[in-house]
Amino acid sequence: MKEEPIFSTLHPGLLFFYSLTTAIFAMCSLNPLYLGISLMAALLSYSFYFGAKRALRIFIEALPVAFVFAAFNVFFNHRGKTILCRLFGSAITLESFLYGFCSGIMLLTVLMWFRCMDVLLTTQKFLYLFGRRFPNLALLLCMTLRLFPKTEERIRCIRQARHSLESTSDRFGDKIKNGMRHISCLLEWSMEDGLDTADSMKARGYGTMERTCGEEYSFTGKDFFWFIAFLILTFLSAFAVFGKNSVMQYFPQLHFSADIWSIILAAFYFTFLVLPVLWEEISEVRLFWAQKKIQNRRKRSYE
Amino acid sequence: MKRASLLRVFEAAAVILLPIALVGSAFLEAEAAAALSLLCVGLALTPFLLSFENKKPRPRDLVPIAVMSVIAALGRTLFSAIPSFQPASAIILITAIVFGQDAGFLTGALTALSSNLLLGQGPWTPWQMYAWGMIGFFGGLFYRAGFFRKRFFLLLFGFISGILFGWFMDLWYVLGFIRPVNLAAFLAAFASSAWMDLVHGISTVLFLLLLEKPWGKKLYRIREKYGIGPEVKEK
Amino acid sequence: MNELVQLSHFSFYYPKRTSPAVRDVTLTIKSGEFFLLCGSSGCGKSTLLRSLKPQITPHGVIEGERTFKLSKNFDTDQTASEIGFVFQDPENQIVTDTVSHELSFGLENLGLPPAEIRQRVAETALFLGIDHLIQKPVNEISGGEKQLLNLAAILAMRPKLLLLDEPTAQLDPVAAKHFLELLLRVNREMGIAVMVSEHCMEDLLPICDQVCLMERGALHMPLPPREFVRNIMENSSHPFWEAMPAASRIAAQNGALDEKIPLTVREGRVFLQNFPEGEIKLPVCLKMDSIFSCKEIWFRYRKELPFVLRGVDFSLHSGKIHALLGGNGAGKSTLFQLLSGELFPQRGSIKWKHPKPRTAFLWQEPKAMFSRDTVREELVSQNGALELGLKMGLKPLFERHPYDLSGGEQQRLGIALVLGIQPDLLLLDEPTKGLDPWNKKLLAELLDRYRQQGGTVLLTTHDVEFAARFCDECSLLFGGRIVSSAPTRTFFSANALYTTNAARIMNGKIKNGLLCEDVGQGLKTYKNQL
Repeated sequence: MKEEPIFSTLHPGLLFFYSLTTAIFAMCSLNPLYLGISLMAALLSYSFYFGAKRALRIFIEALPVAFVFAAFNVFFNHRGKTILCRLFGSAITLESFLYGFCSGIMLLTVLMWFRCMDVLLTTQKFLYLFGRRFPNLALLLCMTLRLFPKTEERIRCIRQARHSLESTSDRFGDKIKNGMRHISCLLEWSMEDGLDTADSMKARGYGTMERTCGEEYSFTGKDFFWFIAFLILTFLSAFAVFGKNSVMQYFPQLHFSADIWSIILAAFYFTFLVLPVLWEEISEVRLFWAQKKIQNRRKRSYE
Repeated sequence: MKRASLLRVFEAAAVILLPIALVGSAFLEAEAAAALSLLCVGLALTPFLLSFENKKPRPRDLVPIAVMSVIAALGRTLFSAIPSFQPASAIILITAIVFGQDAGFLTGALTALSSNLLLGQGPWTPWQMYAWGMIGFFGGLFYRAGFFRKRFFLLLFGFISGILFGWFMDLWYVLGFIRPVNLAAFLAAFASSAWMDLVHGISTVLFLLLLEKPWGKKLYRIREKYGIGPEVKEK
Repeated sequence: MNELVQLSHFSFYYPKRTSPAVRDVTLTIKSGEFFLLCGSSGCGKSTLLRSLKPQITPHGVIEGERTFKLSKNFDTDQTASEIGFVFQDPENQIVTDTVSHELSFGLENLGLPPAEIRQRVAETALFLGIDHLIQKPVNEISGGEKQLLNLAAILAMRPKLLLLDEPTAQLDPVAAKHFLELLLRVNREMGIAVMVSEHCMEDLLPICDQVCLMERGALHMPLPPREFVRNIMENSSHPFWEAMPAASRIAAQNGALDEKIPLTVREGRVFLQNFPEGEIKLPVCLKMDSIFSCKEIWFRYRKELPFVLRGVDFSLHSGKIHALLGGNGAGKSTLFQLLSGELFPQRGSIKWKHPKPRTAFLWQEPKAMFSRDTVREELVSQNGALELGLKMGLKPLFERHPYDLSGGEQQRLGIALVLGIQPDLLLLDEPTKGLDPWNKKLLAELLDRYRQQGGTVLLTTHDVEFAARFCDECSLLFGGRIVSSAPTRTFFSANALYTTNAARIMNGKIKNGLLCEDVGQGLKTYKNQL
C-alpha cells in the first residue's frame, strides 16, 4: 500500500473537498459513459494505491453483487419495453436488468473511491478538519481509535488468564457461559481503566479552557493553485455528470445520446478523477529526467 | 442555555423530518437521490452531535461511550460471519438505559463509524450511524419515561428496533438504487431483507436477555463509584 | 516566592468513612526540591499525592488548608498546568492514539496557539530523547517508552511541580532506571520540583533531597536520605528494613549506624574495604526428578518472523521454586504459552512426568480473571478456593468488589483461584510486578507454603532481588535459549553484573555472597578457618 502519496501533502481541507466531490460524482453517475469513466478511474487509482492484484480481486468479487442488484431489480421492477421473458406471469425486462446492473457497478465504484480516500484523508487529517469545530467529538473518536488495539490485547489477556480456570469441554452451553464471563470481565476492566484515563485527562487540564487543535496545516500558495484547479475541474465535471449533453434514459425504453461536448467533458471528468495518480506519475518522470540529466552531465565532465 | 434548547428542538425536527424528506425526494424522482438522501441523513445527524458538543462533557462522560462502542463494534465484527446476527444493538440499548439517551445516541453512531473502520466504510456509514443512534436515543428516552418497567417491553423494543434498523437500511438501498421508487419497491425490499431483519431482532432480544441484568449491575456500580450518568430513577 | 504547595493540618475523608485516609498532614514543597514519598500500599500515599493536585482530588471531605504559591485559591487554571501528575500505569493515562497527538493533548486543553504547541512538543521530545517515536501510533511503543511519553506530555505543559505515583512500578528494571535518570535530569536541569512515591527506594534514596514516610495516613517529618535510612535501620523489625539499600543494610548489620551510612554500591564497597575476605559454600547439586523437561525447542509465531525460542533445553525439578529470568522479549511468555498448550513448538518437544501434572497459570494481569461482583462470589465459583481464600486471610475482603482491591490483594485472590484446581505445578508470569516489599514477602510466604505441600513453582521475573532471596533455582533465558540454569547461589555466583546489589558490594570480598546477611556468614567461615 502507498503510505503517503504526493497528493496527500495538500491541505486537508482540499483533500476533503476532493474526496467529497469524487464520492458524490460517483454516486450520481448512472449514465454508462460517466459510469464507465468513474469505474476505470477507480480501478486505476485502486491499483495505484493497493496494487493491481487487489484491484482485480475486488472487481471480480464485486461483479456478482452487481448481478444480484440486477436480479433484484428485474424481479421487482417490471417497467421497460423490451421484454426478455416472462417469469411467474410478470415481465422480465432488459431495461430494468441494465438499471440494476449499472447501479451495482455504481456501488462498486463508490466503494473503491472510499477505500482510496482512506489513504488520502487519514483519520488524523479528518480530526484536524473537524477537531476545531467539534473538539469533544474529535476527542471521543480519537479515544475510540486508541481503545481498539487495547481492547483486542485485553481480550487476548482474558482468554489466557481464564484458560486454567475454565472447563475445556466443547459443550455449547459451557462455551456460551465462558464467553459471557470473558465479555463481562472485558467490560469491567475496560471501564475501570478508562476512568483512569479520564483522570489523566483532567490532570492535564481537559475542560479548563476552550480547546485548540495542535496540528496545523498551513494553506499555502501552492494549495491555492490547486484549489483553483479543483474548482475548474469540479465545475466541468459537474457539467458532465449533471448536464444534459449526454442523456441516458432507462425507462420506459433504453435511450442513449451523446454529443461532442459530452466526450470533451468526460475527458475533464476523467482527469479530475485520476489527478492524484497523474501528479505522482508526473513527479516520478520529472525525477527520472532530472537524474538522467545529472548523469549525462557527469559523463560529459568525465570525458 | 438558549442554544441548548434550540438544539433540542432541532433534534426533534430531525427525527420527524428526516423520513419525510427522504421519501419525498424519492417519490419526486430526484435525479441524484443517492447523494441527496446521504445529505439528508448527514444533516439529521448534526443537531445530536452539536448538542453533545455544546454540553461540554466531562472526561468521565466520554469514557463509557468510547468503551461501550468499542465493545459493540468488536462484537459486531466477531459475529460478522453470521449475517446481521450481532450484539451491537443490545449493547447500545444497555448503554442508553444506564447512561441516558444522549450517551445512547453517541454510542450508536460511534459504533457504526468505528465498526466500519474494520468492516469497510461506505455510503451506508451515515445511515447506520443514524439508525443505531436512534436505537440508543429512543431506548434511553423510553426507559426514562418508564416504558421498560416490565422487562417484556424492553425485549419488545429490542426486537422492533432490530426490524426497524433493517427497514431503514432498506430505505437507503431503495432510494439509491431502485427506480422507480414506489410502494411496491419498498415492500419488495422489506420482503427480501425480512429474514435478515428477523435475525437482527432475535439476536438483539437474545443478547438483551443474556447481558442486560449482569451488565446493568456492573455498569450501575461504575456509575455509583465514579458519579457518572444522568439522574435516572432506580428500578 | 519559593513555596509552591503548602498543606497545613490537612485531612481527607473518603465518603462514608469515619477514619481519614490522610490525617493531619503539614507539608511544604518548595520549588526545585526532590521529595521521595514512601509507605506501604494502602497507607494513603496516592490520596495525598492526588490531594496536591486539585483537578484529580478524589470525592470526599477535606479538612485543613491547601495553598498554591501562598494563595488559597487552589482549583485554578494555573494549577491545572503548573502541577503535573504521572500515574502508575503507563497504558491507561494515554488518551489519544498517536505519540505526537498525545504530546499536544495537554497544550490543546490549555488553548495554546498551534505554533507554540508544535514548538513545545518538539523541544520536549528532543529533551527526553523520544523524538524518533513522534510519528508512531501509541500501541506500537513499549511500556517504558509509554511512561516516558506520559512524562513528556506533562513536561510540555511546563509544570513547576511534578507529582508521580509509583511511576516505575509497571516497568522492567532497565526501563525503570532510564525513567528515573530522566526524572533526575528534569529536576536538576529544569529546576522542577518533584514528589515521587516509589516502592523500590534503592535507586532514589541517593538522589533525592527529602524523604517522607507515611504510615496509616499520617506523614512523618521529611528527613534527608541518610538520616531517614538511619532512623529506619535503628529498628531492625521495621517493615521498611528490607527496602533499604543493600549497602546500608550491610553496614547496619556490621554495626556501623553513623551519619555516614553508605547508600550506594560504591559507598558500600568502600565500607567493606577493610573487611577480611570470606567465602560461602555453594550447595551440592543433587540429582532430582523433574516435573517436565524441554528438549531442543524451536518456536516462531509466523514463518516470516525470526525464531523466538532457538533450541531451549530446560527441565524443572519438582518441589522447587524456580525463577526464569531474562530481559524483555526474551521469550519467557512464549515459553509459558508453550507449556500451557496454547502454542506448539515447531521443533522439539516437552516431556511431562507421568501422570501429567495438573498445571495452573497466573498471568501478569490478575484483573483479567475476575468477572463476578464480589470476592466471595469469585471464590465460591471455584472448587476449594473459598477455603484457600480463608487461609490466605482474604476474609476481610470478601464483600469487596475484585476491582476495588489493591494490586497485591488482587494477586492473592488470583492465586487462591488457580490453586483451587489443586495443581501440581504453578506457573506465574511476573508475579512481583508492582508489588511493595511487604506484599512481595507475603507472596513468597504463600509460595513457600504451597511448595511445602508438594507443589512446584515456575515464575518469570525481572526482580533479581526477589529471585535471589526467595527462589531455590534460577535460569536465564537469553537469545532464545537457556544460558544458565542452577541453584540460586550457584547461578548468581557466576555473574558479576546481573546479580543483586549486595553481591556487587561483596564482589571480590566474600566469595559467592548474594544476600546482605552473607557478610556475617562469610566472616564466620573466615573465623573458623583461623
